[in-house]
Amino acid sequence: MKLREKPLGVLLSDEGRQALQLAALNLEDSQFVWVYVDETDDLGLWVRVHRDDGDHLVLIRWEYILSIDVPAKVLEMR
Amino acid sequence: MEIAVDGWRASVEDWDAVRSIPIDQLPPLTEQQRQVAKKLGVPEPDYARSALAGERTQVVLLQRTERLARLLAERIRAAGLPGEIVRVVLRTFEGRFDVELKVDGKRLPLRIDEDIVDDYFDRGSIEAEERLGRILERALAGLRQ
Repeated sequence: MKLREKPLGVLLSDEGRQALQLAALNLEDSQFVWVYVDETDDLGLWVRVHRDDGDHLVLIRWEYILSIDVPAKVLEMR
Repeated sequence: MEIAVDGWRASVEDWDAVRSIPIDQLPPLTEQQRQVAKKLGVPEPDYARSALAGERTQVVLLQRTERLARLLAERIRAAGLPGEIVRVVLRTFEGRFDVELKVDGKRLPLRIDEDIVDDYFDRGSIEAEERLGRILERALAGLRQ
């Protein structure tokens, strides 16, 4: 399953949510976060995060991910 | 010849481009999309931007798939092989192209890793060129007229 270059939803464990908050990611109240995945590897998902000084790549480790939700087809707009 | 893309993707360039679009200029979501975004807790602008980036990249992926189809058709002709391309589908979640050839009225499926095609088109890799040639040769082995 290739998840690179896709915006998708990630359901994080409590630990994962804490880890991302420590990484200074602005998260909504939900454990479900919508991210843009730049690349994946054995460590986890590398997501693109915009910070004041520009884009950063942040790793979400696989062990923090409970599930992933990605639309199977391109979402059609009106 | 049928060209299609199964699944989707949003390139970094297209993602960057849509990220700066003001909220009031984003295309509206359908009612179903709004419901899904709400259920998942995804901000509607993020959802709309994802859809827009996906639509933009889809055009590029279709062009790439068509380019591969033409390349394969040229290779088959040049090598005097008996096949013709019926269909090329890029499967984005699997990272491969599914090609359907027709040889003497029979359909012959062929799978090509997207990485090989990327190496060929983007990096001009000689190895990728040789691998593509080998894949075709072996798929059509014994069928040369």
